[in-house]
Amino acid sequence: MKYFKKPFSTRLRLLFTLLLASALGACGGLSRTDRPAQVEERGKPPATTTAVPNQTQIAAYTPPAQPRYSRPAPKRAVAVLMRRADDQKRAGDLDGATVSLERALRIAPDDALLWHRLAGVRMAQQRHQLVVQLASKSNALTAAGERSLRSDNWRLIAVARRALGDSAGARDAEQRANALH
Amino acid sequence: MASKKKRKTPQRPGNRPGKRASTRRGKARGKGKGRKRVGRQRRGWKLAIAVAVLLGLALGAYTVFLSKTVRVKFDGKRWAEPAQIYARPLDLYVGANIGAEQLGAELRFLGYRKVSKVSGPAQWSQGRGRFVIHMRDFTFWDGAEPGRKISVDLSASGIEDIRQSGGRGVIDILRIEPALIGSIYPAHNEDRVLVQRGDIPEHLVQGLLAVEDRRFYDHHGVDLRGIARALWANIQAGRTVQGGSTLTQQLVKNFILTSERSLWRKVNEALMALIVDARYDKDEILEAYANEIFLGQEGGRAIHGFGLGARFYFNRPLAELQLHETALLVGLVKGASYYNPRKHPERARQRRDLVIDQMQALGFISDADARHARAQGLGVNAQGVAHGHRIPGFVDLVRRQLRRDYREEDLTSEGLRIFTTLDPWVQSRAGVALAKRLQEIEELRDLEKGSLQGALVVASAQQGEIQALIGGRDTSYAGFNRALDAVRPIGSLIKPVVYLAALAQPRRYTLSTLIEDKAVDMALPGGQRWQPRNYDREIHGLVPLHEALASSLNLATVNLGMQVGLEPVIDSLRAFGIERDIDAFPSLLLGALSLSPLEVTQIYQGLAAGGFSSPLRAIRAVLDADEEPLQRYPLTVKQAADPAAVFLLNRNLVEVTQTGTGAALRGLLPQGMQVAGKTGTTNDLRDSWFAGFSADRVAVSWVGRDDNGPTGLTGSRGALRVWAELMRDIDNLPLQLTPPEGVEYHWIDAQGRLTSPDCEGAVAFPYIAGSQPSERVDCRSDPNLRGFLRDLFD
Repeated sequence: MKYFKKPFSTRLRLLFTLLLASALGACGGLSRTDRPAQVEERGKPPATTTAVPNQTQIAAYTPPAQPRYSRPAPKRAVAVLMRRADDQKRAGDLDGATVSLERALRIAPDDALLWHRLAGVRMAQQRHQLVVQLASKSNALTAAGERSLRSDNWRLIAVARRALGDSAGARDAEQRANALH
Repeated sequence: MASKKKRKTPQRPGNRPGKRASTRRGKARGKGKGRKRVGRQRRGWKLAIAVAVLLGLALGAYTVFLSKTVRVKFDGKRWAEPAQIYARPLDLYVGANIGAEQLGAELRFLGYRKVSKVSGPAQWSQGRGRFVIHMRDFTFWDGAEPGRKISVDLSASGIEDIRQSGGRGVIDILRIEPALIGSIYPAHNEDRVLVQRGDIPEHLVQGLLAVEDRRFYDHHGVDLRGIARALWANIQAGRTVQGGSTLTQQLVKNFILTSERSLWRKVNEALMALIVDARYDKDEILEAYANEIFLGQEGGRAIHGFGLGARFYFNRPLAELQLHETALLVGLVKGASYYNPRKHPERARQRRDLVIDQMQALGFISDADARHARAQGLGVNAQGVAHGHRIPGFVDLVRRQLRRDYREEDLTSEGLRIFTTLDPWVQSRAGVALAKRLQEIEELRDLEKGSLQGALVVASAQQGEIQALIGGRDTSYAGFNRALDAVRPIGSLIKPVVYLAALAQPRRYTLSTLIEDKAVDMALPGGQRWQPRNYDREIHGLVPLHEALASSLNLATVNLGMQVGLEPVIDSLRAFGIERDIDAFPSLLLGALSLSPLEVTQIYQGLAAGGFSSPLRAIRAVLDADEEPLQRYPLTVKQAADPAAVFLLNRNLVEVTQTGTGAALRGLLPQGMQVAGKTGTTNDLRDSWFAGFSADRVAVSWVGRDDNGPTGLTGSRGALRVWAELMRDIDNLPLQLTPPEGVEYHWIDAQGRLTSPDCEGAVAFPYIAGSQPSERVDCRSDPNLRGFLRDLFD
């Protein structure tokens, strides 16, 4: 990951205000609170950093990347809990699996995969309305590029909708799932 | 739900006093002899026999009655065991952003002893960048976490490494037990933490024997020798200097009888002590005594039993107390207020040392141990620390949430264990932030000292778990809970809901749509007219929608809201969890809706979670007294708004904090700490609000006066400062918004027309697909814009 500093000048700030570039706030966003001088570039478009008079600095638009932790991602802890949830689910301890996934979500609240897994456990518990919500939440956190996770979420939604008697909604979800596959 | 706590109670068939009475009757009958006696004598005997029989019967019946009372008290629900309320457990894992200051505070909150070398449970040491912690065992709602000794390496960016002490393997994640933060005790205010005989340290029992009842293990409930000794001592002294009551008698007195002082009561007490002693073994009596004894008072709360005594005075489980600490508790038996160690430390010390002396004299402890114990300080913590009274606001919320699902009597008597979402670290920082900033604001603005009040609520953004709740400036005062009960007009905090209702109609409204900031003049039902104004009293004409929200323009908002309609706004409030009645008046659009800080948090949680609202929860799980799960309060989400529209709105709320009415945050938060939020100010500057969120926390602060008088503070000058102080102090993930499916970026120019990325001043705005402007310009063919921009830079 490459770091760069924000250019700033009075003029720029004037332009900045006028154009409300910062509305988009996409200042590349992410720096640790205790590492204020550095801004993590996310290969993201626009906004403050690109709204400079020097045209050569204007980057072409690319879709924003998957959210990333500003601190070393607590991957191991999350992985351990996810594995534990899998074991619990396999052993039929669905409540236990829910608890483990909820605990993982406290560590990584915007991890789309965790939300998807939670939807999966809820599916096994036949909590169909909750499945639809959790899978939709997972989709909302999934980056555009991650088609297979989106597809899996739509598939869960399709099954849950069918169980809820919404066959039109189920068909729609299936089509979305297939389109992404 | 019945308490499953099993207490061994030997069931003894029949009842002995009754049998004794019948034996006596037999003897009386056998005494009739000598036919030649005169009738008078005979009649006398008969009468005597009859009286004896009657007395015997009466005594027998009375004994049966007492015996039954004893049995009911002992075998039935002996103690109402209040529900115990726990904070959240602390998860330790590599990558957790926990600093040394926080970890130390968490351990102190748990009552762990800081030592130079860890040698047993509930101890910790701190070296350079390394904590060694010996955890207690703890049973969670999803299983037990074994007590073990671990070492935790910290760096400036958090936890680097966790290992089992002496082991090689890295521990990926573990939980430290949660702190006990309160209890739900019954209306008669007896609070206690039940202990079993096995939890009572031997030195505590020895201390009790030494000063209260030396022959406890030898007598039958009443100690005649003890009474004689006490009597003699009292006669010699000419006043009461010694009591002859056994522990059993003291128990009976506390436990069964009223505090009336009479001979009759004394007789009753003795009789019942005999019954108790006959019926139960000494250890059961001791356990009962240890749970019953009165050890202190805090406001309306009576501290009963050594279990709670240990918590109340030392913030530790009873089993972890050291000799000098148990001696202090034993000393309190004689008079908990007279020897109150917080109020009368010197008296308490003398009494404690007397207990130690007696134990030494009787050979219970060695001379060296006694000397060592006497040399210790009292070791009593500050008033009620870590037991509910530092966080009355949150405990209040927990009680209210529990009452929806449990009967009051179950809460106060069944020994439930309530696991909550409270983050003690965030809570303590929130309390400090509020107190500190309010004081500063009063000084800065020359306001009367102490005139400002405030409330602060912090929840996890994606799950809606309440992490901290401050109901007022004095966080230890269990009074008016402003976070729940200060229902105030929310002013501009409502605007995001209005704009969301607009953005949910992408064909009509986008962030760049121009909306009209023009005078509003509406007839109200009562014949009055409503003529709101902008805060700056200006009229701004056509403004881009995002700018109207960022600058919190009232007139633009009312015009927009009237176009969108009040119904969608009200529907949206409902979807975000507001259950209160909402009047469909146009003034709603400017926040003529009164809500509590907690309700506002509910709305903003839904926004922070990208439109997926979760009911705010203060409780995760409830276990019964046997640590079996009774109920869980799981994570649920419900889509309250289109995630794409919420994304656009949240982008706009980031703008608020960067260039809008919340721009003051830029100087208050670390650079790069991106947040979204909204200021709120009500008429005559009575209420100052700020609601906002980072990626993982949503927080709402309110500042105002209890008498609802003007404060002279806008949202930005008051509540925003409190909010910023807190958010700067605690770990936050900077907000970064992922565009959900169906959102596209398009480059537009200052007039809101599509343009090329390489044009001067081109800005990429997010649009719900298909809603982007249709007009396209090429910057090279637009000399006016170029000239305009050149002017700016010249």
